[in-house]
Amino acid sequence: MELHEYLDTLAEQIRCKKARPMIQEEIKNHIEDQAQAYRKEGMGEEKAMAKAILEMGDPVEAGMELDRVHRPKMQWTLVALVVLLSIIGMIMQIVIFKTGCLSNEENVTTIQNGFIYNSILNTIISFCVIGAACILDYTYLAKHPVALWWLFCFLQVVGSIFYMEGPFIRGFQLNYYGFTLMVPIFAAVVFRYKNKGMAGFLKCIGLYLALVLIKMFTQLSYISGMLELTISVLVVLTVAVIRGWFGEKKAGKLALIWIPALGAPALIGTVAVFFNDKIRIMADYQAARIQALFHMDSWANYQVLAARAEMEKATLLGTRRLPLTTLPSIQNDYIVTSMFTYFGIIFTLFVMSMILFFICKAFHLSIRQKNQLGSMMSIGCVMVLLGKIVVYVISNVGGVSIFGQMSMPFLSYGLGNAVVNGVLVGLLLSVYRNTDIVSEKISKPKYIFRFPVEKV
Amino acid sequence: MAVDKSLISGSTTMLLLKLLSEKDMYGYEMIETLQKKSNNVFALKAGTLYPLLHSLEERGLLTVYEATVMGKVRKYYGITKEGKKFLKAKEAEWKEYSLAVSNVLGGVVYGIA
Repeated sequence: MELHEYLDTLAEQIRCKKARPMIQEEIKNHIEDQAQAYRKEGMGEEKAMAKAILEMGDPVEAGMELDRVHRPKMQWTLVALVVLLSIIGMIMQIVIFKTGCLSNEENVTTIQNGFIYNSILNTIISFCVIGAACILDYTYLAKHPVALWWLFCFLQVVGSIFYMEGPFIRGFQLNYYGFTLMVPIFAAVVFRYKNKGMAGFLKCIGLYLALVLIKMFTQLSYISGMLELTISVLVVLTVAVIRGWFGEKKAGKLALIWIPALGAPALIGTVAVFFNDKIRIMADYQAARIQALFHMDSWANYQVLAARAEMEKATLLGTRRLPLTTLPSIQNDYIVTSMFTYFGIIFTLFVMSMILFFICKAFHLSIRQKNQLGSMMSIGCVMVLLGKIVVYVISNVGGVSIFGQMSMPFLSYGLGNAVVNGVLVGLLLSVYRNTDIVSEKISKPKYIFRFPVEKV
Repeated sequence: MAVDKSLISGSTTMLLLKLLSEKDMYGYEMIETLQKKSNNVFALKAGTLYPLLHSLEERGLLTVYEATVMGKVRKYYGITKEGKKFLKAKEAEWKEYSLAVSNVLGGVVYGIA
């Protein structure tokens, strides 16, 4: 048997094609080492190779054993949770549309059915996106992460210019959902600059700051999206520093990100509350929201107070009534409050604990993921999901809220929400699926041609 | 997870983990070292070794990394914290087992007065 015959027979047993090259490489190295050892003992070239291959044993048996290890894996617990939560969310949305459209409008049933149809369609689309993102090889994202980052920065500008316009997606949606998708991209950027020391670390921060500058010169809207992104970016960078991706001297680097991260909001908040009439650093509504934190009876707290009132009315088993008159577009913004009043405290807490379990499970898997890029990307995905959930739930139970809740992963209505959360969950599953398959070596150009330059 | 034949005969696993607890090695090195240390008693086939290494890595008992040594890219395996814990348990199990065998055979047993 020739070397390539052995390797081919071995590879044929491994069903997952992506896993084959890296295994073949390792085995080939081994056979060559063995042949070399035989040659040193005085054997001829061919005889040494033949003996080394014979020494390997049966390629079919070994290949079958390897096949057992290198299989795509599905995280069925997370899949089951997502399906269950999405269906619960869909049912809640349908209940809202069934009850909410009973106005005096004509064609009530048509409008109702339209919304219900959309709700079901969004759920199905979300599952499709999860499936697609899960099957895709996430390492493709890491091929050109910096270019992708700039592309999304550009999309932020586009979103700001066409704020309320756009053929398929409105500008502001581009802004908000763009922020979300930039988190896994940032994780890939951090991976790109791994082992590049302080310079690499500063480049990562630089790319984040570039986005901040772009936002400040265009339109600093959707602070909530920016905040979710920022917190996720901080966590991703912190994990990278702790794991030693940028070399030793970790404390200094941590200080470099956390001191400004904690200092800046305090500074901006102070300016907004006390000097907004003199130094305009944010829109009136944004300043008003911060000021409202200190004046609970302010008009700006109308929704917070309404949500609180609704929460007080919630009973253990539910009242089968919705906060339709007191809160705006509850299918988007107050689906958790609606769940509390309609289905009751027990059921909603059960749903919340499922979401919490999802996040904990996903975070645990991300931290333990042995592929470093995959680990970082899924930490990013989990963090941005968590950020959305925290902002949303706090506002829904009537806690203080300065950041507008945009969407509740798994539960709230909207195509954008369905697609973007689908991407995040799909990425998480893709990383897990490819645990024993992909090798994260960033492919470098194989052949570098160098022309000899003669000195004159 | 599918039950792995070579894992049931856990002694190979234990020997490999023991080797790697001393230093990181690549596959060929492991076979050589094992052979030397056991006076040629354990001649591990590469066809058994690699599937075993890969499954140990899948279970998180080993980590793998690439290093270029003398111009050759090699895959090195190292033991993880979990691997060390697993090895400790396996060693204890093994000691108990061999003690039991010795008791039955009636040979000299160390550690018992």
